[in-house]
Amino acid sequence: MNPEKNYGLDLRGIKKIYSDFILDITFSVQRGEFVSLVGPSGCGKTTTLSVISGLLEPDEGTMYLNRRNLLTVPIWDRAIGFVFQDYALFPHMNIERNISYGLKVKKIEKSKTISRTNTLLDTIGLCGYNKRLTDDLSGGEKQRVALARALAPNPELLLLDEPLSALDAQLRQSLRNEIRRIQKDLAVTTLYVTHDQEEALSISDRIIIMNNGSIEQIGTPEEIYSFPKTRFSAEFFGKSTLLPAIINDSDSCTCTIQHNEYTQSSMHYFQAQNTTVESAEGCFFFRPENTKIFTTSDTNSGQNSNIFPNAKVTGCEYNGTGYFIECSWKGFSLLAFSKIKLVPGSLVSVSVHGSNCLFVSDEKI
Amino acid sequence: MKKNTFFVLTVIFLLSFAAVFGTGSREAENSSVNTEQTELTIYAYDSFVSEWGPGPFIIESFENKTGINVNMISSGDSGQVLQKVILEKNNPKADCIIGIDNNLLYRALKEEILLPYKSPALDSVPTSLHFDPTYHITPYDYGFFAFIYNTEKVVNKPVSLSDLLSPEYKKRIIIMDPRTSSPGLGFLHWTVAVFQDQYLDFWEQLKPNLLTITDGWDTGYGLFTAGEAPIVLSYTTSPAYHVEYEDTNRYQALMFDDGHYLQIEGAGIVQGSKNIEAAKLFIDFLLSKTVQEKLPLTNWMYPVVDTVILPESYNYAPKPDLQLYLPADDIALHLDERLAEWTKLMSK
Amino acid sequence: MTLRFRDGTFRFTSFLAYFGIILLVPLFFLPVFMVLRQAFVDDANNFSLAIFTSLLRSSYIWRITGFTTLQALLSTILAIAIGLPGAYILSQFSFKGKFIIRAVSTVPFVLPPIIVVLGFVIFYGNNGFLNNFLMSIFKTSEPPLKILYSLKAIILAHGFYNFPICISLVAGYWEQVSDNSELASYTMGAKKLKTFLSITLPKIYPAILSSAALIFLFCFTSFAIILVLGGGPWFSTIEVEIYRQARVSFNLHSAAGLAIISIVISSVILMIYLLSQKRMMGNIAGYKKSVSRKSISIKPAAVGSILIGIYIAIAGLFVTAPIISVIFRSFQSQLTRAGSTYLSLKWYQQLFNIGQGALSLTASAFSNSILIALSAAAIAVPAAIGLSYFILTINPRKSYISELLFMLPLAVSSVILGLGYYLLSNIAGNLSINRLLIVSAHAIITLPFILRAVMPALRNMRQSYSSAALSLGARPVRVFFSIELPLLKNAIISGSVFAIAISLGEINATLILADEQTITIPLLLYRLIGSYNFYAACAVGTLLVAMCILLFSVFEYLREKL
Repeated sequence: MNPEKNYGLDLRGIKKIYSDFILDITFSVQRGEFVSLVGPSGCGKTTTLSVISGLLEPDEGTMYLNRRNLLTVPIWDRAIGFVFQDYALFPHMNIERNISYGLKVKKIEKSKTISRTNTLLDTIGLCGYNKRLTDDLSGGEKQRVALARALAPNPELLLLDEPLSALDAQLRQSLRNEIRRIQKDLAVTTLYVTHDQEEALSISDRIIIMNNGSIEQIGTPEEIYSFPKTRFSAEFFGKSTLLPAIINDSDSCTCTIQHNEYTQSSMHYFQAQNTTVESAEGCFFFRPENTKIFTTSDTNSGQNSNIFPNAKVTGCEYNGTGYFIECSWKGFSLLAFSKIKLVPGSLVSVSVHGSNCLFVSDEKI
Repeated sequence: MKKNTFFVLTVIFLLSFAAVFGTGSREAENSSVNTEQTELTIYAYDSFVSEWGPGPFIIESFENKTGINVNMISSGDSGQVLQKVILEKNNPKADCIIGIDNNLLYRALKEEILLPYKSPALDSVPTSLHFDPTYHITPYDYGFFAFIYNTEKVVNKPVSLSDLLSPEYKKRIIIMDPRTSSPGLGFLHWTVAVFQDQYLDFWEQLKPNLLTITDGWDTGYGLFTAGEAPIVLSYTTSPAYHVEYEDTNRYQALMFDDGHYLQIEGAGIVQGSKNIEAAKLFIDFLLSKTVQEKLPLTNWMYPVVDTVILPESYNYAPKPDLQLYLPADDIALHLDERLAEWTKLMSK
Repeated sequence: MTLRFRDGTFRFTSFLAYFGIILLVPLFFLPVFMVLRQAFVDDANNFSLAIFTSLLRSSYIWRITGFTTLQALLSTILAIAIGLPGAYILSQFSFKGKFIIRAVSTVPFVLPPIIVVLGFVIFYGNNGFLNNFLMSIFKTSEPPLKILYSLKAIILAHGFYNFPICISLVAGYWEQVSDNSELASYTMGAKKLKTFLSITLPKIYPAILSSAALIFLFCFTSFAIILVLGGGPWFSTIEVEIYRQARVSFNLHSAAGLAIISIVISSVILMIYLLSQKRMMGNIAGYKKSVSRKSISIKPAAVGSILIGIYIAIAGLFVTAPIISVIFRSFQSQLTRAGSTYLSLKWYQQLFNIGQGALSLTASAFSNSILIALSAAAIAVPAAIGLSYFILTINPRKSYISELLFMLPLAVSSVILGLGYYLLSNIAGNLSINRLLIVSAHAIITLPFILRAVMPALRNMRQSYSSAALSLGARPVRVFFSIELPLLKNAIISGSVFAIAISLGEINATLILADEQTITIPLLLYRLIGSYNFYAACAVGTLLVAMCILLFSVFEYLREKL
């Protein structure tokens, strides 16, 4: 089980077993990469960070950081920076002493400690805050100090545990960009835990979706968004329509939507090369942005298009660029997108091209 | 500034640890000196050992006279001292025990914790004070329980126990609890000695006149001198203290026709002592003129050697004509039962 | 998901915990166990339940148990009733001198019971300051106020001496859980009383319960106050009965049986205390986020300040009057015979002239007491810290039991502990009686008080502080000293102050363990009273109170400045 050369962090078969919960994960983070760990609360994100940082000892598995076997190294020698959800700034120390704590314990020369601390204060835009007390800082400032403190000892890996969850939306947006900027500048390998999908999509190199102690999918934001592999991934990121379906013919990529008495066959979907669908039962999936809406019954929109005729508009929600249209079709709820406003009650046809549709299995791949 | 927190805490801790070790090493020095010669370990009650008690003088003069080191250990009141010796029976640490009185005598004899020793010095002690016929305990001083009254507050002074029952003393008497104090127990025995089987009737009638029953002599007497009540249970020698040190005779002992209950205090040699000869010397020394002369003004008791001249203040510490006390077997037989009956009656 | 970060710090703190356990086992659990087992054996040392069956069948025992419980209950209710307004004032308004109230609250712990009783008598007694004052006003010769020597007196004394516990405990909690829900209730039109009953009371209820349990415990094991101020054996408690069986009747078996009954009841109360403490912690964590503490305390309005002034005056008078009486008495001196008194320093001069050595006896009593108190704190504080970590690391069900066990010194009477030491010295041949033993005994007696202060703080401390420090490269020992210890500072300081105060006033264990060279302040006081010198004893008591206040001022200063 040699860790692959390029990888910064490499976890294989890491297991942590509790009476009511089992964590079982395998993944890698490349050197300098920014990877987000997302999932609903209780899915094991924080436990994963705890295991990596050394706060928790795994029951099984291997874990390497830049080819060092982490499991034989105690937490204080792992060279992993950790930013906590509550920042955990030491309340009995001022900003300067908070940031330099990690340098002091390593017995770094005093002059170097001072200059490093000042550089970091500069980096986070809090120049001259040296002697301030942590109580006097705003939430965003505390967050930055926590980041600077974690970065001070030049960690090989940075772990951030929902660092922005306590802040308001606007601040969250600007801070996440700042985090990403600092991370890129320092090229530090980063694992970022969040439950905010939008946040994950916007700043990550790659995203890991976790559910119930295991990994659902790993991929770039684009892959994760456009090609969810499981129903869970599909639902977790963004709005989508999911309809129960059975594959007709996996070669021609057609399936049948099936619900109660109703069936509609020959629905086209896209399947990437060299991938297989494990189970013939699953869901027919598409995003609202990829739909077209016709108010007439003229729905000839070419080959491989899937048409849902006679859908009744039940809701219309403006998002700034257009309208999310909620329709009822044969007892299903469809989500479409329209540039123009539609009156609830009107009948429409929803069309989505097969290349924008996926078949996702219920089971994990 | 905050940096100092840890520093200050540490300094405090280190200093006090140093203090502990400091005392520890002093302890060690003592024992290293002591191992060179005989050391006599004596258990005594706290007020005996106290600076104002006879202890310090006795230790110093005995050491000077014999060259034997004395380690006198106080352990609460005389009951606790006896209890300690009883509980250490299998592994005795004391050579002598001081403070066994006639109330505790039966217990000390029953537990067989003492060695008999008839001191030659007992010849100068009247035989009426030889309270242990088996000579396990050698008497060294004695006294009488008595009620002390404030002459400025009491108009008609009672002359017998029964007089105390008069309504004019309603809530004006302080006594001690026989369950927790030796004067208290002495008074209970006093009433038994006077009223025999009828003692509970006396107590029944005494109840309304009692202001309070305190846990110990010190609290009771403290209340009395604070002016809470004009009559208090104490010793006939108490007025002598006020004459000697406060130059006032306003507190005087009430002498009763029924007689007064006697308390004799004695010392004994502990069974298993490894310094029996030295212990015998010490018992003899307790009966020497040197010690006996000191007892009246330190232990506030009469010396057992009747040739000792009493201090002038003892003119206010009259000795009763009629001296009462219950024999040890009687106490042994009935103590629990009497205490139970008393408690039952008094807690009604 | 719990972060068991303690795994990392376990090594150092568990060393402290073992230290605590090593202290407790031979000096507390073993001796107490040796006494208590006597309840189950007969004179021939064979197993027997006869003692218990006869105890349980005795109506007398049930009656005194009932009375003990009743007086403790009534005293607790009174103490809470007096204490709650004080807690309200302290927690909701800001004013100077809060620390004085904290200082006063330790006075009952530091003064030996005999001085507490004497103080009460000097002030409230028939010939006390209060009655003399009233008699001179109404020109009567009969004392108009007959408070003492009744059940009333017991409850009053207990109430007045324990209500500061309620104040400090409830106020500390109230401060932390204050939020806007009361204001919200007012704006919704609710009346003040209704708001108090429906919102405030349920919120502070765990703190009330917690202080009530503590007060109940102290009243339950009270001894001198009940006997003397109650006026005699018609008010007998289990504690008095244990004393009698152990010291007068020499019946170890009965004493042990009674002690077990007492310990069982006390343990139930302790359990209530621990459970309500845990609930308080939960609530504080819940409220903390909503509003910062500083914004709550407001300056009282004019009418409010008058009411506050009246309350402080009355409560202060009741609690401090007996103490002030003792102090006043220590400066009084009587001219010969005439009986009239004048003020002088005679007793203090006398105190410092006792003893011919280089140091006067009084000076050595003070230096001994201070050294013993500091050493006891030096042992008990690390032990309590270690035990607190220990309690928090083991699983919750076991943690209740271990916390109860470590708090048990609070519930076991000194009579039983003393007996235990005698029995112990019987089997352990070379257990020599010396200062180290006194120090250890004091450490054990003070341990629950430090634990009481440190446990909640530790439980409340965010785990992420330690985790952060560990991940920054600090080893567990470093984390402990640079992060955790400073964060526990206030709790440790207030626990230490209590420990030192209690050790300074401790008499029972000292009396049993001290050799003739070791004199302490309470021992000196006790011996002065034993030799008729009440005025000088009051002077010693005064010095003790002065030390207590000094101690508090120093630590208050440390708290502010560090």
